[in-house]
Amino acid sequence: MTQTIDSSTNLSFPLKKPGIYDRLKNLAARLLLYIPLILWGLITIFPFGWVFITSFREQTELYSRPFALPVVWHFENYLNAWEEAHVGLYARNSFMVTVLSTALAVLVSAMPAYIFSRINFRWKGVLWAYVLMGLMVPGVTTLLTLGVIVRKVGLYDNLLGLAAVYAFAGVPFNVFLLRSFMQTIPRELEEAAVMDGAGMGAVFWHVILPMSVPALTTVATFHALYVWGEYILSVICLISPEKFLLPMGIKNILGEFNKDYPGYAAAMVMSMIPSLIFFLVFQRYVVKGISAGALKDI
Amino acid sequence: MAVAKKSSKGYRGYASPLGIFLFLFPALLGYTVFTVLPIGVQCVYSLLKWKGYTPLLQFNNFYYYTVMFQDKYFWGSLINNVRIWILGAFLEIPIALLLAFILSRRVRGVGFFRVLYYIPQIIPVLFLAMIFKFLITQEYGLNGLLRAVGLGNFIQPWLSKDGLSQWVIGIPGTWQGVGFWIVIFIAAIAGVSEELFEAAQLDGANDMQLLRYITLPSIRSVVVFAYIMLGLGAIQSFMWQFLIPSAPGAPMGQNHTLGSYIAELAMSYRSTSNLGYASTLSVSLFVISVVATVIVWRVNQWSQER
Repeated sequence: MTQTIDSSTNLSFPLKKPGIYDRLKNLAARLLLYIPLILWGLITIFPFGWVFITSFREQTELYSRPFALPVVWHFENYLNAWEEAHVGLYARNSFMVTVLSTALAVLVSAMPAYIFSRINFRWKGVLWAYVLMGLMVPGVTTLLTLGVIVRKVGLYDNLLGLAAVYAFAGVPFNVFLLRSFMQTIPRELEEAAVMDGAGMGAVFWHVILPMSVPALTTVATFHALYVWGEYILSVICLISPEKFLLPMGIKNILGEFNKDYPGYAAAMVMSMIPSLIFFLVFQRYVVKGISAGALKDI
Repeated sequence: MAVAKKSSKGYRGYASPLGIFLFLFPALLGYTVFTVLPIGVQCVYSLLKWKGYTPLLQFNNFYYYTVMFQDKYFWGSLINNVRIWILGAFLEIPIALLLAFILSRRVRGVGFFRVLYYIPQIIPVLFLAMIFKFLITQEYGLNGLLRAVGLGNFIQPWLSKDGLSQWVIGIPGTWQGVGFWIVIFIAAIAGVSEELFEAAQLDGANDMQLLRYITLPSIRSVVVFAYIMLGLGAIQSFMWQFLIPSAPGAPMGQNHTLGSYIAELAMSYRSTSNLGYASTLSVSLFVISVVATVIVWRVNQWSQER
């Protein structure tokens, strides 16, 4: 801390050595800066902290003293949620759909992104405009008839079908992001591969994909977080309780558990933790993805 | 010559038409079936006459569109969309700007705070909605807290009182959005030349002056962009309004945005509502969103040309 202040003051006023009073004032000003940061940090954390504490409570305690620490910590709430409320089953479903959908989303978005970024053909402008149009479609406007279409193509109440629906829902944005990145890959690499006799498949697999790993990771991270938390599409596409994903299944618990809020909270905490861990591991790519995606257009 | 002929046809050396087709086909097919087709079907549905749950192949003479223009929930929802934008404009962006400015001032733990503030973005929104719903609506949540600290006079039916609930419902979205804009603004401020700050500091500028005269003007275009994106997002927003408002006692539809109105109809159309009318609302939201986006693009182009 003092290190930073010293160097910055010296930079600004190289001739004057700061007195003890100046340094204290400087330090106080800097500590003052932390007040808004910590305040907003507490506001951010509060709902999570509350649900975490609630997950260990007794039901009656929730009404008498909802913000205090539990008198007795009921760890068995977690066990109940996992087994009686089938959170274990929903977690398996969610995990499977997330993994499959993310792999599919990355693959089907990287393929057209490669074509749109590297190869010229007739109709390219028209097709690209067609893909970009998808960026303007509010997600909610497809809901009404998506269920009908999913039934017609035989993907209703099918976890693989749901994984596909998720993967294709992200196509416009993912293609857009990957294309921008792939445009920066040097042409020479591609040309050298072609000289060695590589076709489109080989160029895509051995040159474009390996060079795009950072962007692919960004897309995969966003998509996995999206699928893990998605709720409405899963309600539209699924009907059998044994196929429910975490958010949908947990929403149903409330009825089953008969207003057992602590069990509900325990189930929520269990499904938030994977999101959190995943984000902490890949947060670098999230930050990179937002900054690159948003600031490029300005 | 052969090469010249090839390039004039537009194919790059090794690319074949079949290859291009195969690479484009899966994504374009899925995108067409799951995104474009639903909206296309709704366009048709909104123009047909309906008998119960089955469409008749007869043009309805824009019947549902005239119904929509007389539907007070439609207009009320649109006003709520504007309210979401106003909340974001006066709370979300200013808070994010302030925090991003502080985080850019050589404080410790930038990475920590940035990650912390972003967490609401990555948590399943259904769970956040359930938590907020409990905290805001139940007697034991916010109102219980107010009573406990002796502010019982301030107890409100937060999600059902007309004129208040429409704003309260937007607060969780604002809370969630701040972390996103902080990431954007930190990146923008990092792009401002350090020499500008040092020169101003040499001239004795304090923090507020730095913010007012150096930081804000330098990232003006990003802030404008943020307000525009916030507006486009407000048009589409529906999650919180869809997931929270079933508070006991809340008048039906009071808190809806256009999107959540549609989502609710989408979830219940088999039992209660008319798919023809719901399609009309959905198509309208799509058109509003496209028109707004195109206007933004045009204005952006126009301002860059000047």
